Amino acid sequence: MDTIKLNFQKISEQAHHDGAKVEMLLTGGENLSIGFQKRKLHSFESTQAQMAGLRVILGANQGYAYTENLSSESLLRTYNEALMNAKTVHNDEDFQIPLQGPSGATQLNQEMSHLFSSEEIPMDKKMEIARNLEAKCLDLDQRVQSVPYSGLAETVSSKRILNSEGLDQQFKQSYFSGYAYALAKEGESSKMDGEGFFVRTFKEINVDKVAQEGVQKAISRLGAQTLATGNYPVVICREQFPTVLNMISSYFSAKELHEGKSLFEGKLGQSIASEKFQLSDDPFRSDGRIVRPFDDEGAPSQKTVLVENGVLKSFLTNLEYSKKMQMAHTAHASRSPASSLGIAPTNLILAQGEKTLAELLASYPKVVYLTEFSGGLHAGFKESTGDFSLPAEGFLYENGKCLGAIDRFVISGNVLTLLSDIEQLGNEYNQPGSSMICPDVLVKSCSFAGA
Amino acid sequence: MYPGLIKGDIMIVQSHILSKALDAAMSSGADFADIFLEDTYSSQLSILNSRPEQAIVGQLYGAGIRLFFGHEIIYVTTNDLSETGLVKAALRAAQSRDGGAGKKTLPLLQVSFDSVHTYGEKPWEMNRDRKFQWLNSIDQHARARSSSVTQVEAGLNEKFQKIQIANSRGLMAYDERAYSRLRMQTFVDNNGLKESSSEDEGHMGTSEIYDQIQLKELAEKAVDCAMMLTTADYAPAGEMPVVIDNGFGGVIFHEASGHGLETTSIAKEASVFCGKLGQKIAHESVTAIDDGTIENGWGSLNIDDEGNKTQKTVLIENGVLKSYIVDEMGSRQTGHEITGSGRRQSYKYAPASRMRNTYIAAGNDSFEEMIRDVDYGLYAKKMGGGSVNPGTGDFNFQVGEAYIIRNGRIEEPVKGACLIGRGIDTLGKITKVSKDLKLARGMCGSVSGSIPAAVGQPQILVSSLMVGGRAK
Repeated sequence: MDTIKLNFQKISEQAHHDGAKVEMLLTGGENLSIGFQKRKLHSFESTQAQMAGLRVILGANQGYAYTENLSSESLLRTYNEALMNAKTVHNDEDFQIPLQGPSGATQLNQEMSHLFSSEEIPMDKKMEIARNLEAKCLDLDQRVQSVPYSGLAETVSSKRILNSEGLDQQFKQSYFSGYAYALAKEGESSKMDGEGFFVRTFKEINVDKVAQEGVQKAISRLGAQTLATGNYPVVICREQFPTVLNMISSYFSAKELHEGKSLFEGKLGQSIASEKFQLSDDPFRSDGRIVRPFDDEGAPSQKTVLVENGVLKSFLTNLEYSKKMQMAHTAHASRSPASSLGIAPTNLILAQGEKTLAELLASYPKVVYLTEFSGGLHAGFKESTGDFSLPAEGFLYENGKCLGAIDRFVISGNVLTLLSDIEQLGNEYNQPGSSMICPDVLVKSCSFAGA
Repeated sequence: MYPGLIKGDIMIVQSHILSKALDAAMSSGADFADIFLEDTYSSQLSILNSRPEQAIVGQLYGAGIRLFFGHEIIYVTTNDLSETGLVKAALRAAQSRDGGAGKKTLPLLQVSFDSVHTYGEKPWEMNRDRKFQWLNSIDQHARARSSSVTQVEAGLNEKFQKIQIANSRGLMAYDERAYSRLRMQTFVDNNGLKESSSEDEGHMGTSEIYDQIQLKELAEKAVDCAMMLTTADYAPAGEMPVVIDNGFGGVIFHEASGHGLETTSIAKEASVFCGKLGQKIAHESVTAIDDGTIENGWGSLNIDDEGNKTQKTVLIENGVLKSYIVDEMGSRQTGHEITGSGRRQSYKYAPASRMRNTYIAAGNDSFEEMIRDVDYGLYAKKMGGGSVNPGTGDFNFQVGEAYIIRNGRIEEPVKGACLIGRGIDTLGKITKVSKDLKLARGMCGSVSGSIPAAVGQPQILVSSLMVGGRAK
C-alpha cells in the first residue's frame, strides 16, 4: 500500500471515531516554462507543487483544511483543522451530505490514459520552440517593435481523490501550451495582440502558425478609429464568444440556484435564448481544455445537454446539490484542495451553425465585427443582473467589406437579451484547447458607445 | 502589540542549510542566487443565508530558488524544505544552464530591523466564533436596513505569511506579514428590480480591528447603494469631463500609469513610459507616489520579496517622471536603482517589480469647486475593477456608483458606466486635484501573481474621458 493510502487510512479511522466522513483531494504538478526576450533566454522556470485538501463532513456541515506538507503528522493535523471547521459551521438542517462510493470512473480513467504522455522531449527542442515563438514574430513584419510576452510551457498534472467510503481514483495528464504577443507600431498607433496554443503532444506545436496569426492580429488593429455611438448588429468572433459564455456559466450551477443567485431560476423547460442556441457540457471532448474521467468528488464524468433550441434543459449538479435540489446528478463537482466544493462546467460546447464568417459579416449593411473584449470580464459584468458594459475592439463592415479597425468603444446590454437576439452561428469553431468551444455568433443588435 | 523588533535569530530554515543550497545554486556559474522560503497560514470564513457557510484553513509551505546568469532568470520551486530537498532543487536550477565555473557565496548574515507594522492576535489564536460574530452582525444590519434585501454574503480572509530570504551576497532576512480583509455583498429585489453592491474593510494586520470598525455603517452603505442602483438609469455615452472620487478612484492611476512604470514592462520596451524619465508626462498638478513604508498599509512591507528594504518612491513630481518601480532584475536590465519593489504572491512565483501603496498626492483644489466647474459630466463615486495593456497604455475600468453632473451640481444616479482611455493622454487631462487624499485596498494581478496593493488619490477632475454607457 502506498504512503498516501496508508496515511489516509489512519485519517479515515480517526474520522470514524469522530463520527465524521472524510475526503482527501490530492493534486500534484510539474511545470516547465521558457521565455525569450530580445532573442535571448530570459526566464526558465521549473516548478513542482503538491497539495492535499481535506473535507470533513458531519451531517449537514462540512469543514475544509489544506496543506502542502504531506507528512503523516501534518495530514492528521490538517484533518483536525477541517473537523474543527465542520463543527464551527453550524447547520440545523436534517440533511446528510453524501460522499461518492467506490464504484465509478475506473473504466473512463483507462480510456483517457492517452491524455498523459511520458515522451521525453530533449531540452534543446523545447528551447528552440520558445526561441522561435519570439523570433518568428520579430522577423515577420518591421512594424513589430517587440514581443513583450511569449513562452512555452510543459505541464504534467495529477489528481487523486480518496474518501472514507472506500473511493480511490487518480488521473494524470500532460500538455504543452504557449503564446506570443507582439507589440506593433506604425506612426502614433500601437497595438499588442497575439495567439496561443494548447496541445497534448509536442509534434502538434506549429510555431509558424502561432506567429503569423498573432502578428497579423496586432498589425490589422493598427490605425484603429473610434466608432460612432449607436446600435449595430454585431458578429462576436469565435475566439471571444467564450467571454459571453463565461458570463452565464455560473447561472447553470444548482448551488447558485439554491443560493438565489442564478438568473435561470424558474426557467427550467423555458426559453432562455434564441432557438439557434444549443449548449452542452462535454468532459470527453478531446479538443477541449478540461478532459477528465471523474469530477472533484470522484463521480464518473458525463455529458450534459444544457440548452436545446434555446430551451433550458438542465442545471449542473454535484452530489450535495443533486440531493438538495432533487435534480439529476451531472457530476460537476469542482474544487481545488484549497477551496470549498462548488459546481463548475467542464467544456461548454456551443453548436455551430451553417454560415461562413463572410456571410455573417454581410448579413446587414453595417456590422461590427468584435474581435477583442479588451478587459475580459474584469471590468464590466454584473452577475446579479446580467448587465454588461465591456470595452472592446474590432472592425467595422459595410455590405460585407471591411472599412477598418475600430477601438475605444464599449458594448453594453444584458446577457439574457443578447442570447435571445442571436440570429446566426458560424460554421467554424475556435482554436482547440479552450474550455469553451464556440463558432462566430451574429447578434441582431447591441448598444455601442464610442465617439 | 506584535511583532516590533524582527530579531536576527528567527528563521524557517537554519542558515547552514541555506548556505549549502546557495552553494549548489551557484555551482554552474550563476552570478547571483537567492532563496525565498514561505510558511503561510490562511483562513477563509464566510456566511450565507444568515448562517456560517464556509470555513477553510490551510498552509502554504515551500521555497523558490532563483538564479541570474546576466539577464537570464532561472527559477525552481520545491515543497521539500529539508537540506536534501533544498540542495536537490538548487542543483536542478543550476544544471539547467552551463555558465562556467562555480562561484562562491558570501557567508550569510541575518539582518535585524524594527518592523514598521504591529499585529495583534494571530489568526490561529483567535476564536472562530468571534470572527463569525462580525460576519453575522453584518448580515443582521443589512437585513434590518431594508426588507428588499434578499441575500447577504460576508467573508473574512486572513493570511499570516512568514518569509525568509537568503542570497549569494550574504543577505539573510526573516519577516512576518499579516493581512485581514472583510468583504460583504448584498443583493436586493426592489419590486422586481434586482441589484447588488459590495463593501470591504481591512488592513495589513490582524483582525481585532473589526471590534472598532462600524460594521453597521458598512452594511447599510452596501444596501443603500444597491437600492439606489435599482432606480438608476443607464449612464450616457461619449467623451465628457469626469470627476473621480478619492480612495479607490486611484485605480485609474494604478491602471493608467502604474503598471507601465514597473520595470517588468520597461525592460521589455512594452511601456509607453520607456525613455521618458525627466520628461513632463502629466499635468503639473499631478504628483504620484508608490510607498511601501506606510504603517500597517495594505500594500506595505518591511523588506520586499528579494530582501531589500522597501521605500517611499516618488514616481511623478509636478507632472515630471522621476522614477520607475524597480526590482533586482529590473535594475540589472535598465540600470535604475532598486526601489524595494520586488513582490510575488507566494514562493510559487518568481518576484517582479510591482506596486505597493500607489497614489496621487494631495493637491490644492476643492471638491466643491471641481463639481461647480462642470456643465455636464460624470461623477464617478465608486470605482470597480479595471485592466490595462501596458504596451499601449489603453485602460478601462468600471464605475460601481456614478452620478450625472449638470450645471455644476451632482444630480441623478446612473449605472453601467465604464471609463476607457490611454494612460499618457489621461495624465495630461487631470486638471484639478483636491486636498482630500484617501487610500483603499485592492488585489493586483500580474506576472508574479495576485498581491495586496493599495490605490489612492484625492478627488480629481479629468477634463475629458470616454464614458461607455448605453446608446439611447
